[in-house]
Amino acid sequence: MIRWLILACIALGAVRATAQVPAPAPVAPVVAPAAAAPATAQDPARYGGFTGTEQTAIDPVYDMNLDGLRSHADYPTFTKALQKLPPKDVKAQAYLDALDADLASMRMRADFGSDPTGRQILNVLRAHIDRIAASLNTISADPQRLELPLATALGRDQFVDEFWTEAVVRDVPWKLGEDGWEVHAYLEVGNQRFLPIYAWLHTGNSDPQTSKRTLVTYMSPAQALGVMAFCDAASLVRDSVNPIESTAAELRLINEAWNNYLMRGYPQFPWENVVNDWYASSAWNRPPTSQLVVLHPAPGLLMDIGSATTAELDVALLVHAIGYVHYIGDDRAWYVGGSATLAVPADDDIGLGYGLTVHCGNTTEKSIFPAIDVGLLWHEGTDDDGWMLSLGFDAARLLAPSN
Amino acid sequence: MITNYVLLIHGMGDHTKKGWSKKWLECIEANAKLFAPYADGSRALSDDVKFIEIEYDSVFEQGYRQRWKNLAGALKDAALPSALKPALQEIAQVEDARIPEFAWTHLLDPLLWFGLKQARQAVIAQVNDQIGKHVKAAIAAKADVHILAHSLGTSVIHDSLLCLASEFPASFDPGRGGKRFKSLTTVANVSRFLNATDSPSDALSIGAFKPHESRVRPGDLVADFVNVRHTCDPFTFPRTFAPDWKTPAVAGISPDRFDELLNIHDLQTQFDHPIVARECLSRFTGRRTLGAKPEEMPAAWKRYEKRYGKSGAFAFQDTLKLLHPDANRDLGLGELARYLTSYVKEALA
Repeated sequence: MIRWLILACIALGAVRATAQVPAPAPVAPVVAPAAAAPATAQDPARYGGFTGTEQTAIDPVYDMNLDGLRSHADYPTFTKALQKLPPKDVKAQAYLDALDADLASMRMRADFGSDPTGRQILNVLRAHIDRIAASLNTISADPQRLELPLATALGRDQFVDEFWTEAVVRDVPWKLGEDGWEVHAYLEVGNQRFLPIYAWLHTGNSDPQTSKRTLVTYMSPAQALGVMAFCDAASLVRDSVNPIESTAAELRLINEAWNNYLMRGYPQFPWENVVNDWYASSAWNRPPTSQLVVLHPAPGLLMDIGSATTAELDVALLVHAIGYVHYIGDDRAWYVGGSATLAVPADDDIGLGYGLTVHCGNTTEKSIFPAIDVGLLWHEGTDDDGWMLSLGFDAARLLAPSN
Repeated sequence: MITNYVLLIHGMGDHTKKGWSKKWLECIEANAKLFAPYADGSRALSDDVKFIEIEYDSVFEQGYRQRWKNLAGALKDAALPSALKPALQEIAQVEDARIPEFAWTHLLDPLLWFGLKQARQAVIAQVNDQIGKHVKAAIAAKADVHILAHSLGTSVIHDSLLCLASEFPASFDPGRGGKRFKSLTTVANVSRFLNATDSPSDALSIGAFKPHESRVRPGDLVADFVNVRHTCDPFTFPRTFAPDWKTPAVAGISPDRFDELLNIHDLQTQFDHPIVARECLSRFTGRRTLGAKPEEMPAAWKRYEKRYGKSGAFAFQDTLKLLHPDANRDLGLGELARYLTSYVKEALA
């Protein structure tokens, strides 16, 4: 009950949006956002051993998006071996060799091999690649490892391949709205091997309108370009072995199954939604296979099957008191079930009927197979008793306009 | 070539029709034009970013809302589950003709998401189906994938990402070679307020779905996380999302200005804040120095002040006082009833 009331608060907030309210007098917020000061793990001015330099003019390298980066003339020189890997089915060892080869090419460039910061970048990348190699050793010995798919290796706990994506680092004593440093780096930020690219130095943030951001860079534009290109190419190789096509197909099927069950399955009245929410086992990727039918009213027709000479149909209210429906197939495309049914005919002379009803239907969107509710009921009328056939029309289905 | 896909996750209300994000996109594009290279028209935001609508409202609409609404009309609410009745009765007492429609289009969404296990699971399946489709396209296009979620959508995307990573690690768990979302921006985050009470996944316990402790955080399932919370938005006061992750961006941006109180909760009111716009757009476009030209931010602030003339005030002070001393605590039934009543009174004041 408490949960429902909490939700009502939210909903009334939406309701609130329709009403006109005069502006009240200013007051302080009642609840302030939590603001715990993080522990300082790094000096941002010398982050990860790299020294930051304030920039008065911004080099275009720092404003390049992925499109700009990949179309840069120097991109292929930093990523030659990684780009040569096959578009699919990359082997873990081949990936490692490509990282090695591109790192070796980088070392040949004066920006890296002959520059202290460049050598530091190479050392970080070297340590990272060595760690991948060591982890690969733990999961597969030669010669089998030559054939180990990268996708398989990535799925193993022991295989370590880290953060190729640029991100704002943790453990810098700053947050938006305060003076301080916002450091952007590549590689896993938790293992003390960073490649910081740039930072924003925020000052005067007590007044956001007059606050100032100064760009601080940790490497030259050419070095930054090399790091960004290398990391991007590595990231693309990882993406190339992502089994996203089969995943997307599976996700499609899961959703279709849910739609078949919830929107086109045996219809549920609200109380049945609640009962089945409690009763039917399910998960987001496992729609229910079973459903209870509870006090489910439906208009229907009754036919006296005891009389071979007349085929009169009588209107009745059918109430499926309790029943069960089972769904078949990964896509929950069919259901079949039965209910104990009570029939209240419009014609009092026919009398109350009771018996069993069979439910059957196809739930797929374009199905032409009609939902069938056929029952065999015993009735006790004013003049005679006997068996009747019932044909149900589902009112709950009719209430859903999509059907 | 477009190298950034932004998945848009809506909040409560009617979003079943394609094009529901029109107002969002107008706002986002207007803000992009404050900054180079979009300011002078030499480049359009659509040259760099593809915005994609993710829709889950049809689960509520076709699975429940329409059928329940028609039935309730026919049976005068007598057929609704008893758990819903107190909330609906509160709504019924408010004398405003617009409210019944709001009750059905807005109230039921969070009610169903929060209250019915199957509704939550079906929504996650629907969202994840669309995410799978668009991430597949993004990988083929060698693009980064970002997410912008608002209100109820923040809770929906939180659970959806966790389910994806746990059931399809090779595709969505970065620790297993899966795609890492480049950024997640949540506006009016209610993920703690609408926290799951039953795990929607076979693979994860309910503890994995606590937003402050979950894997939906920077450096894990997403690379970067921006949280935007208007200081006057009453939706975000109970069980405020305010994690201490020691990552700067998530510390949040807190707009405090508005034009009408009614619009405080809207995504547009919060996205128009110059720092929100700059931080979001620099991520969406991949342009690290967006907004760095000296004249850009002052102009953005001027526009913001002109558009949003009110600040530092909110109409819900009596209601919010009821959350004292701790808005994170579980409120008792009596307290909640008073909160609700106060809310209605202030809304009609």
